[in-house]
Formats: sequence, structure tokens, C-alpha cells
Amino acid sequence: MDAMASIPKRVGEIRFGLLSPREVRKMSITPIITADTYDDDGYPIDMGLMDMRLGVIDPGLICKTCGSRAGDCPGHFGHIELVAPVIHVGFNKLILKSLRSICRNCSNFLLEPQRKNEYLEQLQQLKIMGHSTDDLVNDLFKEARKTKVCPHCNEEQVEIKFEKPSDYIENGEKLTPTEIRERFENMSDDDVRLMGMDPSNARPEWMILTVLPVPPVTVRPSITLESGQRSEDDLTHKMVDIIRINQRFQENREAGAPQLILEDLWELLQYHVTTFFDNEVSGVPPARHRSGRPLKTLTQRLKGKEGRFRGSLSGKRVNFSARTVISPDPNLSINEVGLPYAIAKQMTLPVNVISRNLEKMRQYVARGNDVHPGANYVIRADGRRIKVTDVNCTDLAEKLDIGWVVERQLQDGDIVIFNRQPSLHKMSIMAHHVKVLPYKTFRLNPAVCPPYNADFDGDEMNLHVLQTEEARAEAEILMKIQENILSPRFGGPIIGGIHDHISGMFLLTRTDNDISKNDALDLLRKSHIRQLPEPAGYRDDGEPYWTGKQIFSQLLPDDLNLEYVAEVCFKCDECDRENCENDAYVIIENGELITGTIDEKGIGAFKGHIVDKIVKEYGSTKSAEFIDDMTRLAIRAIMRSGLSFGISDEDIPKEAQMHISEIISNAEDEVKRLIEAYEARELEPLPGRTLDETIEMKIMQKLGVARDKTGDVAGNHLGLDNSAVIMAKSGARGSMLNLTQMAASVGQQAVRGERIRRGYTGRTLPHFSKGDLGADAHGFVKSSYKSGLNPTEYFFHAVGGREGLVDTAVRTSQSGYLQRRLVNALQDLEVQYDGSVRETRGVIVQFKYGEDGIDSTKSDYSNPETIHSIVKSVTGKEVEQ
Amino acid sequence: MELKILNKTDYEINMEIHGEDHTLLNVLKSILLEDSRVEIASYDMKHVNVSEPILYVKTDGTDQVTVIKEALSKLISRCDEFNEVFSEAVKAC
Repeated sequence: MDAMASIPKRVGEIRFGLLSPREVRKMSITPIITADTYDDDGYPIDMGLMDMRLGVIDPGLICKTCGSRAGDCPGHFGHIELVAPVIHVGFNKLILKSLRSICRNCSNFLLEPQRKNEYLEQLQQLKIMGHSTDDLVNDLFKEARKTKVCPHCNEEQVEIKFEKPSDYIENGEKLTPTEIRERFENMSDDDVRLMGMDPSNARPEWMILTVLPVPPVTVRPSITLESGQRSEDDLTHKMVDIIRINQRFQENREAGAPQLILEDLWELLQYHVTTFFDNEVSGVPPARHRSGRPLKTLTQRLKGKEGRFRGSLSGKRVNFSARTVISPDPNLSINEVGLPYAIAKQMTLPVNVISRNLEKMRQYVARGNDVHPGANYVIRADGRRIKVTDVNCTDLAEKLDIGWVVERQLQDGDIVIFNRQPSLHKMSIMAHHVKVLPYKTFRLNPAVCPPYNADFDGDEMNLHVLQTEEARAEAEILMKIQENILSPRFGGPIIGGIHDHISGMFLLTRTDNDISKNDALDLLRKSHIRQLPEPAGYRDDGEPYWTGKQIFSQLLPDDLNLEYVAEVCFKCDECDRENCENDAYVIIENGELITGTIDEKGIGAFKGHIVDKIVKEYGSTKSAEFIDDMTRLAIRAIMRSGLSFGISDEDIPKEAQMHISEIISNAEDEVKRLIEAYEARELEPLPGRTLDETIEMKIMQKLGVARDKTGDVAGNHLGLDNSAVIMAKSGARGSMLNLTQMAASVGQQAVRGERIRRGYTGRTLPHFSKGDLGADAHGFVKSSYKSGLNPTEYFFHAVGGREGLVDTAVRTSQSGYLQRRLVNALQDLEVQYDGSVRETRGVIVQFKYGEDGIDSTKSDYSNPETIHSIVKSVTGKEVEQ
Repeated sequence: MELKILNKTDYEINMEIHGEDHTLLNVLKSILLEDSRVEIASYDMKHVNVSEPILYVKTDGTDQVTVIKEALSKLISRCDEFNEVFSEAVKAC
């Protein structure tokens, strides 16, 4: 039988159809007639639901039908002879359509014989050409339904109504399944073909069940509880109900019970068969377990996220993977991941024992499975797997020989794959080197948060251990973090400084200009830099000092040259370049930062020009080193002065507050004047707008300007000594708008880009008079978050805030679906060695990748002007534009 | 305490000190930097949870071993001095 199982089989054809009663009986090993499962000795009853011929599930037993053991035996069907036919819920729609298109008297399809022949020919044609016949069949159903008198027997047709869950009403009377079945049975084969069915595979009467197949026990295994009691599967429970009712119905009919009781029992049988197939049919109360839990029947097994398709077939769980919460660890390199000891001890990597590593592998095995870099299994040359335990470890270490395989525990330096869902781009799955650490979370360098889109508010991530040399080599070369610093999305770095790294660099390179030797060495301590440049000067007491720019320069490659405009740039009309009074023009000459402030434009993820340049000119290893050193330096720098924010940082002087309220009241006055002009019909409508639209726009614009002005006032009083301003201007976090809203005025609340209008008739809230067009009546919040909002402002703010929440929720789900469809359509495309993009069959989709053949990570932010900088670096001359 | 010298030239030294932390190395580094012959004295622990500190010293050319030894005796004498002053102060109160 083992030989039988190993014979490979090829699927030649798949045919879909309905099971005929004859087929059900043919594939059945036995009729099932008793609802009881086991007798008093715990032995399965013959012709019961647990009949031993239906397959085996208990280990050690042998199947009475096929002679295989549990696991090999696929299980065998049984059947129940239903005393009265019942409708199969899954076919209700088709049954209704069929009933409506055949004659109630002679069962002929309701079409003229001539038309029938025409249609039959058309169907035949479609089938030969391999087209779908669905549309034609649907037209046929429609046409037949319109026929009011049967063209064959002149019987007048009556409209048949369907009532949930499975009643068909004709002339106010319910059709019994027997009657429906009779009508279908009388149909000719050609008429069946007209309904789009193949009469040899599926006849309509088979939609009305007379025999019910009983699934094998392997489909509905019973579990033995700790108490020794057996707990049956939900499907078994349902089968028991069906058999009980079936028996009762038969007994009652033989005893000549009144029609009313028989009908009730028939209904009950229908209910049980229906819920056996689907326990969530609308109009049918779900069948429940004794505990009140709805039973999980056939449809429920297949449907939904945890169903057979999405849960078991498309999505499987894999071995050699781990999942836990992530937390930040700036001490790790960006290429590393901190792995908890508990996980490192359980995850293994197979190592082939050869003469050169025999002694080393012996040491792993000798440590056993409980001392960290140990081994959990050894595989002997003959393929036997032996678990390494405290007891046998010394013994196994001694026996270990060439040709064995040792499954050793993970240790520092092993390469693993790290992933965070949703895996939207290739940087969602990258390779890291392991660093085994105490505690229970995965640790990762905060600089790699952007590609994973991770934060540490409870995010979890998955880790996979590679099991073959080839996989490890591929991961090392293609998937390591440092190979993915540049994103193909925009050709710039997706890994770089974030948050505090940017604030820290900003503070260091802008304001920190008096650094003692001790402090300088301390700043560079974590950055592998063990030398200092010539001091920038000497203090009065003769002590040397260095500037922050000098310290930062130590991290740069010696021959780096770069010029760019920093994030802090005030966008003056005329740029003073190196003489910029805001120190916003960055010049790096031969690895020396001459002028400018390092901020988001320099080292940030997404924007960092310096990171970008280093990756493109010095390679990935150098870049990883730079990012490591730079982030560590930035953190040391920000710790020197500290950076915190409190409620008092939003304080602005009295006169500034006066100024702000003046600006706002001026704006309100202007709005009032606009409204007066509007009411006096003196307002000129803008081209293409109605008068109402015009005034709305004008008011919005006036109030917007007013809010911006208040922001400017607040901004003027909060200088670069304010931590929030530092963060906003350097690009670390937040914006000046956030600060304006906190310190000066929150501004206009909007729904769908318009002022708030919904609410009561003619007004937003009962606090205002009807038709009031004023600023405060339509959601203008003049208070700041710090001063607090009045009740109406608070309400409008909540209205606007909710729209924001709904928008993000809708946008993420919509863009997710859009992305899924795109990926599904494009996933098989591949760039070939000849540069063309082809799908699996070799059909060309693009002659050149992207129609220009450009790899965006190798171009300068996808900007063709790269050539200018290359020319400049070679000739030393600026290219004339 | 266990000490491993990682590399050593005429005027540089890199060593790993097992079982010690900032308590000793921070003081030692500060005292070394007081010496004008010392160009650079710095130490670091690669990872706070698992690593041992590494001390790096670079001099202007004088023998780094004598410089470190001198720094150590300076440290001891300063501790002794503190001990004396402290004992006296305790006695006095």
C-alpha cells in the first residue's frame, strides 16, 4: 500500500456537475441507519455514524475498507436514504429559474419547438468555440418566463414565488419537493441542455436530494478529551439530527399519522439538511450546539478569512519562523536584529559535518540544547533524526562523524529574514544579521523603521531562518538592509536619520561651536572615530575647542564633495549661497563641512542628500557604517543639551497675543463687510461661480490668510531657541502649522473642503441665527489649542476631526485593494537578460524596462541631470545650462 | 577581572576589560586626558547589554604603557587622598 501511495498521478480533466442519487449510492460503502455512534463498550456501531468502514482516525487501527493506517486512509463515504426528498439550499436560485421556465403540466421548456432547435444549435456553436454560454442561457430563461401559455399542451402558466428559506409558492399553495422533483424528472435531455446543463453530468432533479452522502470520519474526526470523554465534530452532530428526524418521519408515516404532523416533520428534515450544508442561510435560525454556539457546518468550513481557501490553502504557517513585539535599540547596527535568547535557543540552522568543522560541531552538540550556542537535533548519515538532550549530548558529541548534519542554534552573525506586514514593497522583507540579546522582544535600529513602516507602539514582526547555503548567500547579497538603502520608488534613500537624529544633527552642526576635547571624544565615542582634527581655536585659558561642523566632518569620507540647499532654507528671493545668513547653504569640500546646517535634507530618510551621495559613490557597506555612526553621533549630540517640550514653550508675549486677536477681529470685520455686500447684492460673482459660491470662497480665503498671519506672528516670537521650532524647521517632526494651531489660532474647520454647513435648517447650531454667514457660525476656531476652545468651536473641531478619521480609514482600505489588484495583475512580469519585460509565457510587455531601461536607484533621484554633476567632477567646471 | 589587549603599536593601545564598566573606565579616561602627553583616551561598550568595555589610548609618542601606569597610580593616590580627607571630616563631626 505504501507503493500505491507513491505512484504519481496526473490530473487529466476536472468535471463539475451534480451528484446523482445513483452516484451517491455507488460511492457509499454502507447506508447509515442508526443515529448512535458507539455502543456501551465504546465500540463503533455497525451502520452508525462512526462505522469502522468509513475510515480510521485513531492511530494504530486499520481501516476495514482499504486496510490502510490512520493518516494513509483517505476515508470512505456512507449514505443516508432520505424518506422524503428535500431541497439543496445551494441551488435555490437555479431551482426557481428552472421552475419558472418549464410547463407546470408537461414539463416542456416554454419555447416553440422551432426556437428551441435554433437555440440548441447556438449553444452547440458557443461550446465548440469555447465561449461561455452563460449569457445565452440567461436570455433563454428570461424568454421562457415571459411565455404565459405552454406551446406544447396549451396549459396556462402561473407565476411561481420563492419564499425564504426554501418554499416555492404556486397559486398560493406550497409546492412540495416531491412535486418539484416530478416536474424536473419529466424534462427531456434537450430541454435540460437549454438550461445550460449537461444531462449526463447534472440533471435538474438532482438538485432535490433523495440520498444524502455521509462524509467519512476523516472529515469529521472526534476528539478524546482529557477526561476520556469523546467529543464529536459539529458535522457528526448535524448528521445525528438528520438521521433521527428521518427515522421519526418514516415511523410516523408507516403508523399513518395525520398529514399535518408529517408536514411538520418534513419541514424539520428540510431544516436539518439545510443547516448541514450552510448554517448561515438568511431566514433560517442557525443550528446550535448544546452550549449555544452555532454549529460550524460545510459552508462555514470553506468561507471567510479562516476558511479552507483563505486560511488553509492560500495562507499557510511556516516552520523556522518567530514572531514577537519589536522595540528600538540604537546600539545595534542597521544591519542587525536583536534576537531574544529564548528564540535563539529554539530556532536552528542545519550544518553539514565535514572534516574541517567536526571538532567545532562536537562542541555545539556537547553543550546540549539548553546552553546557548548548542544544538537541538543531529541527523545521522542514515537520515535518522535524534533530539539532543542533557542526557545524550556528550554521547552524541562523541559519536558525531563526517556526513552527519547538526541542527545548531542561532548565534551572533547568522543571517535571517525579517518582515513586517503589510508587505507592500520589497523593503518590507529584508535580511539582518542576528545579535542574541536578553529579554523577549526583537530589537531593531530605529533608522530602519521607515522601510518597514514600523513604530514601537506594540507592532509585531516576523523572523525567518534560512535553511540552505544558497538562500543565505542570496539574502546576504540581495536582501540585506544595506543593499536596500535606496528605494526604487524614488531613487533616494529610504533609510536615514529620523526624529531625534535630525534634531541632534541640527543642534550639533548649527549651534554647538565650543566643544572641549573631553566632550569631542565623548561625542565620537560610539562612532568608531579615534582621531580629532586640528582644533578650531583655543579658549582664553589655552584649552583647545572644536566646532560641531568639525565633529560631523569626521564621519564623512575624505574625498566627498557636495552642495545643496538645506531644509531650513528661508527661500529668499535671491540666494546668497555660501554667505547665507541662515546657514542653510550646505557645502562639503573634501569631506569637510564648510558651511550649512545638517538637517533632514542632509541625513533624513527619504530626503537625505548626503546619505544618497554616499550610497551611490562609496557603496553599501560604507553607507551602513555612515548611517550607524551618524545616528549615534546625533543621539550623543542631542543628549548634550537635551531637547524637551512643555506647555510653556507655546507661550507668546502679551503684545503678540493682542496682535493675533487684532488680526482675527480684522478678518471678521472683513467677512462682515463681504456679507453686507452680498446681502445688498453688490457682490460681483467670480467667473463660472454662483454668487453663493463666490462669497463662500472669499470668506474662506480671508480667514485662511488671517490664520496664516497669526502663525507668522507666533513664529516671529518663537525663535530657533524653541524646541518645537527646531523640530519643525529641521524637518525632524511636526510643522509650523502645528505650532500655529497650538500657540495662535486653530483656524477654519472644514468638511469636504468647505466651511461647515450641516446641522439644523438654515444654521449649524442653535447658538446662531438662521442664515448667519459669519465666521464663527460656520466653524472658524479663533482660539488656540493652548488657550482652549469654546463649546461651539469644540463642536466644530470634532466635526472636522471626524472627517479626517473617516477619510484615512476609507483611503487605506481603498488604496490597499487597488494595490492588491495591481500586484495580482503584474506579479509574474520579469525583466529578462535582454532588458525586455515579459510574462510567464515569454510574451513581451515592454521592450525596455520602464520604456527607458533606467534603474531608478542608480540614477540621481531619477533626475537625468546627473550627467552635469559627473561632468563637473571630471572637468572641474560647471556645465552651462 | 580579565584583560585582553586587542592591538598595540608604539604609541597606541586597544584593550578589552572584562568585568568592568563606566565606574572604573570613566575615571580612568578622565585622568588620562588630564595628561598633556595623551592625545586621545576613549572607551566604549559596543552594546550595553552584552559587551565588555574597550579602552583606546593614543599618546604623542611616549610609551603608552608608562602613561597608563602613571594614570593608575594617580587614580590610587587621589582615592587615598579622598579617603584621608573623608575620615578626618567624619571624625571632626
